[in-house]
Amino acid sequence: MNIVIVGDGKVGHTLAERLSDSRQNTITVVDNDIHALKKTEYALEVNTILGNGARPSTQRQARSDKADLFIATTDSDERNIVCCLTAKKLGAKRTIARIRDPQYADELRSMAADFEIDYVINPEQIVAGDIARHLAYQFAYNIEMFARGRAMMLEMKVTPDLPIVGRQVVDVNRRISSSILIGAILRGETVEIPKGESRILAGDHIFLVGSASRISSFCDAIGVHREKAKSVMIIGGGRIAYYLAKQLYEENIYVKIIEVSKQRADELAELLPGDILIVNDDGTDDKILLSENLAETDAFVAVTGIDEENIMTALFAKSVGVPEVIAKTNHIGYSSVIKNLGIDYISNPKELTTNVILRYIRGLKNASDSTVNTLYPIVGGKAEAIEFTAGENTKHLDIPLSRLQLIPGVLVGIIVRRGEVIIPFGKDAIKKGDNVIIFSVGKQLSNLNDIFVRVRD
Amino acid sequence: MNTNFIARKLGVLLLILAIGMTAPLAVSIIHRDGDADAFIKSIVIIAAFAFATLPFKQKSGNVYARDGAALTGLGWMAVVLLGALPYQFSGRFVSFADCFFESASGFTTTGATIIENVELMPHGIIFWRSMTHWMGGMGFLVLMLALMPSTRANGLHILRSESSGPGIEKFVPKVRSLARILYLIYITITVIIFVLLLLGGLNVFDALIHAFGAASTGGFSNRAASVGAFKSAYVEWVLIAGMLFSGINFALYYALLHGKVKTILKNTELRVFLIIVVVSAGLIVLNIAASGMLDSVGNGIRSSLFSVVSIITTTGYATADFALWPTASRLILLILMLLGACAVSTAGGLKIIRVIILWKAGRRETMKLIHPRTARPVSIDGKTVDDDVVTSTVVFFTVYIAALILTALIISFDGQSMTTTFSASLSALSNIGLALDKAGPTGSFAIFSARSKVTLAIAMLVGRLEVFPLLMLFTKQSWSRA
Repeated sequence: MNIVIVGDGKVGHTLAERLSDSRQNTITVVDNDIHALKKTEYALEVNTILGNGARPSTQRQARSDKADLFIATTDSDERNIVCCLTAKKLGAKRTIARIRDPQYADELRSMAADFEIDYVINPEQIVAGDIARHLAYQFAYNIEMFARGRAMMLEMKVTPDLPIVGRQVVDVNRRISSSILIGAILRGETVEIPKGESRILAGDHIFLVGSASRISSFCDAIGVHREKAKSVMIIGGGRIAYYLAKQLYEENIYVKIIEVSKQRADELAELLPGDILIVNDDGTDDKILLSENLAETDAFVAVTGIDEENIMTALFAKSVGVPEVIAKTNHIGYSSVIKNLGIDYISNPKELTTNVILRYIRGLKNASDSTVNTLYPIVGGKAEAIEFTAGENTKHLDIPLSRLQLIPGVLVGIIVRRGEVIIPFGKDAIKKGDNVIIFSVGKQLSNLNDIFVRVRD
Repeated sequence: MNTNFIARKLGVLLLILAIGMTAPLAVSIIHRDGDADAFIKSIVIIAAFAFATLPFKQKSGNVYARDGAALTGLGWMAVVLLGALPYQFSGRFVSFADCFFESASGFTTTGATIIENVELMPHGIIFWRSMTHWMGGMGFLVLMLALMPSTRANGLHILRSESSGPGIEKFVPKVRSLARILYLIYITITVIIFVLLLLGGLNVFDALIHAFGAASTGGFSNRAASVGAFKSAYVEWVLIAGMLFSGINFALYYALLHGKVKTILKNTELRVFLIIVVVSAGLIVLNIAASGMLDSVGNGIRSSLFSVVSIITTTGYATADFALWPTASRLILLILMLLGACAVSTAGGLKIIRVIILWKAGRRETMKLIHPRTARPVSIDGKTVDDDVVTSTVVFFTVYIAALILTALIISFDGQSMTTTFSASLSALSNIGLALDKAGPTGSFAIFSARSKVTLAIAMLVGRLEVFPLLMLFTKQSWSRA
């Protein structure tokens, strides 16, 4: 695929990095900052073009006319729109634009249609959605929905007090619940697809799949409870806070936002419903946090623009006993350190945005037979959970899984058939129309047929 | 520095060298010239060095610009030293200094020789000399990058530190494809020259030697009178074209393949290059005519064009003894020796693009005198040249001249004439191989002492690697762990 990325910022660079891993992709990155481009040029197998990405002449140089995909991720919404318009006029097949201004948020769909932009992403909205979902399932590290919400994947940290510590996977299924599946285990930095005899250790992250209700009852059975937060304190009144507050308010959660800028605080007060409390003060000041009843709040979310402040205030919130603490960090490099600090959840906008775009691209690749519906990368893409729909061209339909030899490092997680979630055993088979969720390590699957080796006799 | 990475890649490099050496071995066996043993011994020793790097496991550690430069510097030193082994083992050279000189001259595509009568040399050694030209022309490490499985983008540091000019533009995304394209163009040019020379009546061996010499802009010949020995206007025209095309930026051929004729027509470096060639040749013809040495206009144009192209592309083939030409003509050739041809070609010298940058930077300084706060970036082909590039070009030029002076100073103790001393130093540094006076087309570098030969050989390496990768190896910081 020929891909042109305009904007060599965090998202642009990460996208180029992940997309250039594949041999078939030819990637061109356009930016007007020579230093950013130089870094990218040395680090990645991509072409770089210096210039204003909205200019037709720059785009011609970048071969936008031959692009299968054009992505605009500069820091200006308007420039992104113009870039996409130009690319489309030159002949780019599909365009993606990052549009983040909340003023456009309600009209995104119609704007996208008018400007012929195929896909619009709003990173702050994605982050807000991510945090909100996390608040709903506090003990979970990550949650992803598959098969239009029928199935759920939940990443959970195994604490030493859980009854599953030290047990074999097969044992967990036998004793606690056979209607959920442990699809992957993350230990340190390595991911493995568990076998029946694999043991679960304290400190592991396990990835559970199943229907939402079965996962809930499994969590109840092992003694992790799902307590919904009733009050949330947010520091930093940026766009994420805006989207998050709006969403939490709709779920009847009491929200308090602390914003240091008077102007922004007034703006938020105007934009958001009156029941949301906006405090105009410095949220990084511990005394102010305490005076705003930090100790009594159910959840604390730090989404200021500065990573260090987010982490420090989150640690402080944890120390005064807030049950659920979430921080946003833009840095991707230090994630292994930050993960071990004791903050319950770290949301990384760059990674989330990249994942959303990658998922869209992978879905494009094969529109005909078995489409990628949902893709969830585990630890920066080392492994992934991926959902396909089995179609006409899917091989080995109706043949029991026990007779199929699969490539190594792949596990058929669950099958969703007419809304019903099936944990497949040897006798189960993939049928046409099924949604199949696959776990794979070290491979990027783009077609369901890629997982089969042969049929055993 | 990433020692494991460097050691491992050095091993691969030496393996390529050993494999390359099987070609002259075959030639030697076919012609039964008695040097097969020398080649076999060399191959065994080089392969042993290559396998000695196997214990170094390539860890995932990062590769930075310094590692690419260190690999380039160390790799070239190793290749030049070990590539001299066949000369040494053949027993046809007086000392190891001679072998080292010949090897450096070969790999750096200089083409200067200490062999006084090349026609007495056996086929195997002659073939190996020319083959070192060809291997060094586009670069060993570039060849390695083209052959090796893609190792992420780290290769760009290596490619940049070996290829000539202020920095090759990455016109395709993958470094390996880039290396392959460069080699494909290189091979194509070589094959075309070879076939055209065959059609001109040369035998296979002569044609191959001169195709290698022209495409790599090296200049080794198997004839004492160089190209002049063939007494064929056709052969001379083929080589003029061959050398000229090898001296053009290879990226332009890629643009041509993609139908971007406009890019080529608008290319400033190419235009300046061709203008310099035409104007220099014209001036020389007039100068020779004025001094009454012109026998016929046709011959005069051909031989002056041949000399100009041969010198500016840093090849060093000769058809006429320009050491006998009038002063102005010789001075023009001396200036061309400094300039060199285009960046990302097989030529040496300063490179035309750097000359353009220097010229424009000079003009900007003048403007600044009139309007001190003028904002006027240096730009070429409508693109702004980063100030870092301008600065590093100026620094490069300064260091280049310093290297020239230092080389000439050491050589001068041999007591040759000023012209010989100075032109031989410049000729080595710019990888030309021909100089004026006693080191001119009819002479050889054998006149120099062993100390001078080693100095000149090092100057060739300094010129080929454009100074800094070698200089870096002699800093304390590159060897300390912190």
